[in-house]
Amino acid sequence: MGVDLQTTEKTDTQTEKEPGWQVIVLNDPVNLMSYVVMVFRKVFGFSPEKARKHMLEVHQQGRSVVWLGPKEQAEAYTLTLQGWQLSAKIEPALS
Amino acid sequence: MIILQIEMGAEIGELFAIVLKGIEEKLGGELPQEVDLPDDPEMRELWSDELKEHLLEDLHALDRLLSHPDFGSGEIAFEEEEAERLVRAISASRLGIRRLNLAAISDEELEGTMLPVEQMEEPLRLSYLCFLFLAGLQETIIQALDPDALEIPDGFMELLSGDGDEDEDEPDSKQ
Repeated sequence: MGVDLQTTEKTDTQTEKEPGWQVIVLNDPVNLMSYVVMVFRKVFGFSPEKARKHMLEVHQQGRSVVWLGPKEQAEAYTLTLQGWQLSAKIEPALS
Repeated sequence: MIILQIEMGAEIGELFAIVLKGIEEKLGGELPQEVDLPDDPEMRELWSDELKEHLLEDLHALDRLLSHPDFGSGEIAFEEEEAERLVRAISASRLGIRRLNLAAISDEELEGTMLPVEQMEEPLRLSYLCFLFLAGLQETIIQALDPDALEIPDGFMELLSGDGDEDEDEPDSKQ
């Protein structure tokens, strides 16, 4: 699944001034651990170790911040993760 | 190219297909779980429509697999893109089964060891067995798509149970 959602256009200047946004994956009792690891690897290109670390955070702490960056990209990643049936959301990053 | 071989009685496959058809009908094109959508109404609609459109494509892939004449008795070959649709559709179907047919089972029970199916009554039992079958099918496809995702390194189970050290580092960023 691609990240082709149309989003509001922003100028480079506006983008630079924006605070970071984080993509958060939440735990669910259904998706398999191996599936979550595979999705992290496919969507973000994580190594197996990094993907397992984030999966473990989701499983043990209920959530994991898997990406941090501009809002538009964070939205696109969130949409992609939701398309893979993971429970994902974006939040402004804490400064 | 991915080759899938599942050995299963035709009548079992038909029963699972009935469960899945029922879930699809109950969902009626809606998403199997609540998703976090943007606040902006226009964006919200675009976002939701895109998810539903992709879900439909994914579920069609699962329909194709389950109705394949060789499913349950022979080899079925498909491309990686179709395999990705299948694993997504399986997740969506399991989420749908969990929400619509297995609501009586707690999250803790569902995440724990296998429940005593012989003590369950129909249609709960069939839904639970279908839920388990789909998990096995998904793992089989993941094995072909990304074997590293299934590998369990030394000490990982200790980490999973909370006995190991946790590695704290910064979230990942790609720009």
